[in-house]
Order: sequence, then C-alpha cells, then structure tokens
Amino acid sequence: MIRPELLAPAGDLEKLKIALVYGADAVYLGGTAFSLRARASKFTLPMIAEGVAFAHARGKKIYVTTNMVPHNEDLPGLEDYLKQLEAIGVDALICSSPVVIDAAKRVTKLPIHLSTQHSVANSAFVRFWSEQGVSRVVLARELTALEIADVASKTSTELEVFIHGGMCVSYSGRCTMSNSMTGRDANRGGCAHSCRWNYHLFHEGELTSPDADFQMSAKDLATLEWIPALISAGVASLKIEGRMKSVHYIAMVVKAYRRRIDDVLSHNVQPLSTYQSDLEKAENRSTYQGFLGGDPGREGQLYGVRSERANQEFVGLIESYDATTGVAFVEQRNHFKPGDRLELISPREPSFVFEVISIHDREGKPLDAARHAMQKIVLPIPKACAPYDILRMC
Amino acid sequence: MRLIAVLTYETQIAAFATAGAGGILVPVEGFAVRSKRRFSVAAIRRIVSDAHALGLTVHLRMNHIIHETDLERLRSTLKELADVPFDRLVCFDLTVAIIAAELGMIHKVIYQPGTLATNVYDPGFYAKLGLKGLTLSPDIQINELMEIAKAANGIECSLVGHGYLPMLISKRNLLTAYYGESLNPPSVKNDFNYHLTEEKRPGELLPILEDEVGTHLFRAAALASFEELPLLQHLFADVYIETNFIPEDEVLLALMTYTGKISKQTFFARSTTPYDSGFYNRPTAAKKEAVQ
Repeated sequence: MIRPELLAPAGDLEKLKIALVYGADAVYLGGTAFSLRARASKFTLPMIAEGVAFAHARGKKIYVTTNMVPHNEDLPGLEDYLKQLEAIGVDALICSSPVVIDAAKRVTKLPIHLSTQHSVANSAFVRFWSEQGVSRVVLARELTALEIADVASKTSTELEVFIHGGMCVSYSGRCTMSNSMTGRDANRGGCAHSCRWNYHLFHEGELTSPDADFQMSAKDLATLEWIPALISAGVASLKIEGRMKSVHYIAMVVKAYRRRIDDVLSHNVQPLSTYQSDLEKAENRSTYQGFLGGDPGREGQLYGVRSERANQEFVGLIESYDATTGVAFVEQRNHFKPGDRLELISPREPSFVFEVISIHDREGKPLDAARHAMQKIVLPIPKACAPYDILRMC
Repeated sequence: MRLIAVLTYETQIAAFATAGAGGILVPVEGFAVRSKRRFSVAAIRRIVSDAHALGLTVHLRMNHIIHETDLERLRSTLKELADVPFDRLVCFDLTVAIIAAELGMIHKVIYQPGTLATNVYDPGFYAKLGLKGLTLSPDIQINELMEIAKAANGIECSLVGHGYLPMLISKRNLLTAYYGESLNPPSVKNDFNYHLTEEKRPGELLPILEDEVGTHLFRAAALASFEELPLLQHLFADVYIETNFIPEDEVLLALMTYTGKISKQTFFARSTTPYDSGFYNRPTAAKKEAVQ
C-alpha cells in the first residue's frame, strides 16, 4: 500500500506547528493574497517563510492556497507573489483559476495542485488537468468511495480527498449564494455561509416548515471508517479542512487520523472507538461520512438544529518541562484553577489526567487561578511532557 | 447578438421566433438539470429541423456535473448527436468539452461554468482548447463583462441575461431529506412550486428545486437586462434567456422587449415576476467590511 500524505490546515503559525508536531505530513495555508478563505488567510511572506523552515526541518511540506477565482481587479501582483512564494521555498501551490495556474507555470517551477473549486468528479477531467501541468487534483467532495477508487484506477495523477471538516452543501466553486445574499464573493474568500441560516420552506405558497427549521447545512465530514478504503484506492493525500479551527481541534483531529493511517499501514488496526475518542474531544459540530457511502440523506444534514456543542476546553499549551523538578512552563489559553482536573495531550502518547495542585507566575508568585489569555505560568505535572503538548479541561 | 431562450415545449419554437429569439437552448435528456423538460436525441433531431426552418440556431444544454459513472453514457449520447446538425453544445462541466473534443465536436462547445469565468484571461485559456464560446460569470459587474469580452480573441463570449439564476447547486436531496418519511419523494422531484424565505427576509422568495441530481436554489429576483444589453450587444454573441419559474407568455414579452417590439414599461406592466439587474452594478467583495 502507498503511504498517503496527511494534509492539515493552518490558520496561523501556531496551528501550523501544532499540525506538523501532531502528525501531519504537510500543511496548507493561505497567504494574504489570492487565497479563498479571507478570514483564515493571514500568513504574510515572512510568516510563510517561518512555517516552511519549521516544516522542512522535520521533513514535511507547506502548500499555499492561491485558489481564489480572481476578477480583473485582483490580478495585479499575481506573478510577483508567486515568485516570492517559490523563493521562500513552499512546496506547492493550490490553484483553481486558469490565470493563476498559467502564471504559476510561467514564472515558477512549483508543483500545482488543482483546488476542489473545479468539482472534478471523473478521470477524464483529472487527465485534462494533468495535461495542463497540474500534478495533483483535489477531487469534488461529492464522490463516493467507489467513485474515488474508480477514478484513481484510471489515472496516474495524484489525487487528494477531503477526509474531515466542514462540508459545503453546494458543489464547491459553483455557489453564489453568499454573493447574492450578502454581496460577499465566496470564490474570493468572502463566503458568509448563508446556506446555514434559517429558512421557511413553502410549497405552492403554503408554509411546510415550522419554526424556520429548514437549513441547507451539511454535517461536518468525518471518515475514520473509510481510511482503509481510501488508502487501498491509492489516494495520494488525505486532507483535513478547517483553517479557522482552534489549535486544540487541529491537534486532536490530526492525532486521530495519524494514528488511524499508521495503524492501517502497519496492519495493526484498533477498534474505531480508539480513534473516535480523540475526535469527539475536538468536535463541536455533528459529523457524518459525507458522500463516501452514497447519498448522505437526512442523516447527513442539519435541519433546525444547532449542532454546536461545547467541547472540552483547551486551557494551556506546554512551552517546556523541567524533568528534574516536574514543573511545566505553560502559556494559558482559558481559565483554570487549582483543583481542576486537566488532561495532558501529547502527539506521542495516550493522554494523561491529573489534578492541578498549584499555579505560579513565572516570577514564582502563587496564583489562585490562571485567568489571563497568553499568560505565562508554571505548574507541576506528574508526567513528563514536551513543547506543543496541550492541556485540556476534563 | 442572438437571444437564446430555453425550450420547454416544441410548440414554443415558432412563438420564440416570432417574439424575436435568435435561437433556442434545448435541454438534453440525461444531461440537463434544472429543466422542466428534457429532450431525447430523436426529439432534438426534429427540433433542429423545425428551428432551422425558422432561422433559429439550436443550442443543446448539458449542465450536469459529470461523475465517473456518467462518462460512458455521455460519450454514447454525444456520438448519437454527432450527425445531428445542431449549432452549439452548452456545458456546465468542462468534461463535456473534453469528451466532445475526442469526438471532433469541440468547435461547437460553449463552456458555461456559472461563476468561474471572471477575468480577462479566461476566454484566451478556453480559446486555446478549441472551444467555440465561453459564457461569462453572471455575478460580475457590467464594466468587467465589457473588459473581458473586448479582450477576448478567437472565442465567442456570451452571457446569461434574463431569468432566474441558480445560486446554490447541491448533489444533496435537500427537500427529500427534510421531509424524510412524511412525504413520498416523487412529489418532491421536479416540482417547481417550492420556495424558501430566509427568516429575516420574509419578502424574498427563493425558488428551490430538487431533481434527479440534487437540489438547486435560485436568486429571489429574476435577472433582466433591458438597460444593459444595448451596451453589451456588440461584444457578446449570445444572450441566454432562462425560463424556469417564469410564465410562458412573460418569456415572450421579454423577447419582444429586448428586440424593441414592445416597451419596457409595457413589459413591467404585464409581468408578474420580480426582476432586478443582478450584479451589473453591484460589486461583490471578499470581506464583510469591503461590501458596499
């Protein structure tokens, strides 16, 4: 079996590092220009350079999304930007518009990945893009696992498949709902998620939906059970969606899929619940298998439901650990206090639960609670830990 | 510039010609979606003959997203159509053009990808592939449409100028899923009598349609281009007139208005459909704070 890449999202440098430390083989991110997720595209060129250095030092890769569908006004600066990305050393560009693809071919030697915005759903279309110089195609999220295997068997081009995260209810790239409802162009990073608002449904003028409970909101994708099939199909890259998600989410989702993929490849598969427990700690939306098993039907949709539920809170990030004293140096993320039970999460080992005995600031002053975001604090942890380990409220 | 109206019934052909259409857009059975009627190859053969006799060009519509399981069926249908003297093949998925190229039919293909054709570079890219035409995005402004069409070389530019435009195209069966077991699905499929209203915009009726391939949601107002077409007519080969959710006689009135047979005032006095000017003068932006 070919070892597929595990590809994770990063909305900022910290998430990038967490994704790679927790097991992603590559990370995709959006720069401040030409990316499709405006709110999640905050990487300046120096930040991308730092991310590339961090990734390459670990033998991993960074892909940059340049997948907006540009209007004329967006085109100035495109070639310079692509050249700068190549000079920084990014490993590939994720593109959708022909103007960006051709510019990338013309002014760089970077591999080009075709974004899912083209809704590629068959092998003829994959071959077409390969002939256009694209080295990898991100398939439409509407394919079944059988269709993915069928496409993969008929092309030698690398295929990338979404395995986890938010699902557009529309074929990606073809939706103008946000444009129409809010004036924000989804294909230029402005999607307002108007599909997830509440609607009344009428038939022949008669209201048929009580309480505005008609929504066009798909449950998030979760595909742990399909990983063996996708690996067998020869999919080159398994992609997690969610550049807007938290550090905690990225860590837990990457860790779960890393374990699942490695266990499948080493023929050491554990019960699904083993992996699902990590995902459940990270998720705050209902999930489903998307189209992999066929028509998602009602089970794949949210109607009149606010699916978000509080997940267990991420309270701190380990910066370092003194094994001699058993004290961890932590950056606070959410309120916690002595007496709270925390879970230490590591990319390497099973999680470990302990009670907070004391909290001090870096000057040694005792604190009755860790109250302030990003506050540097010290607390004893009765188990060795390492930078990028996470503390979560139980 | 030709006005190309979507055909629902063969009996409309003569009326369209009389009202001023330059051609008809014929949904192809098995590959057209969001359509009240689809036509078999045998029917298309007859329609082409009738339409050509009246001086109308015949554009065939294949606006389905092509999955792997559709490929052989697509190839077979295009082979069947190979000896039918239709004029244009209008597709939403470039796969149709790819298979048409295999069969020597690429010179008839117009790529109509909805929102994906948005800048001056796009026509040149598709011209190099040998396509006949490209329909520009309906959600860009009139000045952008003109800039792109002026710069286009070796390819016909067209636009969708009238009617209800889809804004969400889903493979999910959203109505069937919503009703669950409480409604027999066949009464949902291809029923053009559903609409949504967003809870905070009660006056905006959004037509929603579920068909064999999924669910389609449309804008609250139909597009009308009475003011804009005089500015665009020398730059565009074809303007498509969508007819879903619009009474048949109102489609004829629209054609008569575009061709100067009746006035805009008469049209609006006799029409029942809400219209707006789409994105001709409405900018879109990437960020909330940038929206005007």
